Amino acid sequence: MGEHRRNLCTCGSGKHRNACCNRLSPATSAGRKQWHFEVTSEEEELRAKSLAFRSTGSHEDACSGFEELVAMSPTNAVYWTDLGLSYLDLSRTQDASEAFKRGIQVAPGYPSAFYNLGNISLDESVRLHNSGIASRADVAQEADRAIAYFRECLDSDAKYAACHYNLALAYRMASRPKEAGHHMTIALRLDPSFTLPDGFRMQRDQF
Amino acid sequence: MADQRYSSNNSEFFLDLHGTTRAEAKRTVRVRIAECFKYGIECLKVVYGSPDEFQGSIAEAIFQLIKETAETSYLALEMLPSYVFMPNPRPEFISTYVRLYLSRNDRSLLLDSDTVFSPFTPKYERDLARRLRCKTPYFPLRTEYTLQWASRAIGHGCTPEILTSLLKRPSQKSGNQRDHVTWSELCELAVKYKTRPAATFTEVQNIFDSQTNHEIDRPSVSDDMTDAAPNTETYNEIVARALHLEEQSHYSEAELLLTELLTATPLSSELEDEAFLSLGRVKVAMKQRDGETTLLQALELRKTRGPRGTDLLPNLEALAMYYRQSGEYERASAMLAEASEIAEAGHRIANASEVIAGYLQSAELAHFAGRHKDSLDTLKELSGFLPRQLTDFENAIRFDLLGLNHLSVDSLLEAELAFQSSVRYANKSEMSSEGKACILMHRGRLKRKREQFAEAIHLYEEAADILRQSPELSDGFLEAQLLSSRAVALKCSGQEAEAKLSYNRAIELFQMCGATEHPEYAKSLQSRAVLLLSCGDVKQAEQDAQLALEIAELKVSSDSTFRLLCSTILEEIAEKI
Repeated sequence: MGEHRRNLCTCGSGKHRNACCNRLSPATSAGRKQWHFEVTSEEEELRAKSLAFRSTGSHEDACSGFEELVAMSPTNAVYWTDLGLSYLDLSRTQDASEAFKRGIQVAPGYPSAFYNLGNISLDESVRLHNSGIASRADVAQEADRAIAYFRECLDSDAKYAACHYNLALAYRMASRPKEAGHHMTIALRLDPSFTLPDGFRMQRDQF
Repeated sequence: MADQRYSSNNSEFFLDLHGTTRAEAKRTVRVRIAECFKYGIECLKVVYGSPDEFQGSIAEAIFQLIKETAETSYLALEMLPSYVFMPNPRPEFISTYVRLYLSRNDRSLLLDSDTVFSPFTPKYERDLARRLRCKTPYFPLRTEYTLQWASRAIGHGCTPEILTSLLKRPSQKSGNQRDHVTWSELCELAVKYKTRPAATFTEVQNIFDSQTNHEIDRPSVSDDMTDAAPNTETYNEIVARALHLEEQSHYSEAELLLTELLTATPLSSELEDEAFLSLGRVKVAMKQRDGETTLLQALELRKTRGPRGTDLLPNLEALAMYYRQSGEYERASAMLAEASEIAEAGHRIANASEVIAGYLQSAELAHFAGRHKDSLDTLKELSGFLPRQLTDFENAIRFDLLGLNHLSVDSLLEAELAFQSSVRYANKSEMSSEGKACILMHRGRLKRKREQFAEAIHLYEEAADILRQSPELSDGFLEAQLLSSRAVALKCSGQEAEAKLSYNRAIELFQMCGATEHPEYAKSLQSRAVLLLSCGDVKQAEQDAQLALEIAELKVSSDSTFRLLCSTILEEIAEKI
């Protein structure tokens, strides 16, 4: 039993360490999965235009462009994710959530959609926590939802540094410091530009 | 010789297609099969003669049609001779006729004196009586005809008053007027009318003279060619004038002009083609039933005059337009495909707008024919092959089509986003009020599918308001569709009385705009039948369902699911009765 537990990943997934986060070791991990969607020249042009609108703060115009893109090519998960982010810019969280979910429907396992859904739940959890009127159970429930989404994301792309980082924050919201520390360590190792937030400490024995 | 007769003794309909073009023969047999099935006639005898060559003959066209209709279960195929199914039988081995045995129809209608079979045009038939028998709607059980009906059947400016004067014998007193004639009398009158001197100068001449101030050397109106030498330059002017009248939407004048010209005058082949095509378009615009026949004749005529070239394109486009209007999207699609093939083979260089319009039209027809995936693929292809940036108008149409297709495959979120984009572009463009109303109607359908009935009703009303702003542009068909859709939404939201009123108005409008054979009309009837049945008005429900089924059956290649739906309602009604 003890031997078995030693082989489990410390992130709390219940998976063998070689099949979970530990496969992230730079020496052993495989390359990240590439997602390919068929794109026409018109779509490319429209996406570039819409992204430019978003970067200049014209969120309404950007949103219209992405809406057209998903209507034209609904099997492209990238467009759904773009649309979801655009909805988030306009504070249309419900629509954003629906767009990300549709992205997952058309491309099961598409990591960005899971990641963004996790972020929505994490934000909600933080909002509940900061409001001061929500119970700990409510906060934890929302954090658990975020954790589930982040984990799905990591199942598809285990080298997603930002996802590890946010997963760590979600674990902290769910009052699970051990798993939080584990994922924060991975995030910092994958992307050293991240900074260690207050209250976290690196795990030394990870790799 | 061309003829048609019904014999009640052996329940057989006799159809002689001598003197008929291939296209017309095929169309006539297609319609007649459906009609015979409708009235429970057991056998349809089709005479096609003895062709020298099987390929290109009427026999080939009919055998081809029989194979096409095999799926519809109207015909008892096992009773047919084997040569019907041979790819290229030798002419000496095939009979001069074929007896088509129809399947048993448990819902057949009884024949009465008002039962009518649709007419056909025996183009090369010279005998006037036979021409009349075929060209006019055929009432098998009617023995007498009113003078008004007879004058319309004879045509060429004939009036009941002229017929009355022709009927009078020298000894007859003026007070003893007749208002009905038998068929043989009608034929006699037609011959008399044709040969009377007063029939030479007609209304057409007057119209033309008053507008051109030219003296035209016109031959007399007659089925036979006259000895007058053709004046091509003058006839060119007449055709040009008719085309101008067509453009100006003066359809009845254009029709008169072209009919007179084609009936009485030997024209050059090019001019005859042009006149036939224009006449077909005019008849379609006037919603005349023989519009299709004339267009098919025009196409056949062009095809016989030379290899299939790009000069066939206007004919195919006109036919595609006709089929689209009458709700036969699959056939319209086939015409468009043929046109595109010919244009490609002829290396005809289309401009960007034509290419885009072609893609959009093709996607539209595929959608309405129920091939949603094909439609989406066509739109995707358009996106990958954009010869230029789409205009706002084109984008409005493109996104509307995308929305409709997504809606049909239950991708409601995608449909909503597409319709939003379509509305945005429609507002930016100079789209007609009909186009805008159409998009709103489609959006209403989405709301209805999402069970947001109040919003759907609001959208239908908004669309109707837009239509009312420019009533001159609408022929009532779209308004009828809107009212029908609104009625469905009202029915679903429990407002049955209001729904009934909406259905009634919609059906009235469909009838007013002459769309009584359109699938949308049939759908409205079927939908109203369901409502009436739930309200307990079984009799009217039965009438509606029966009529819907008849319309569906009239088209041999009609939607089998819809036919089944109508039959199910009729069964429910029968149970209630």
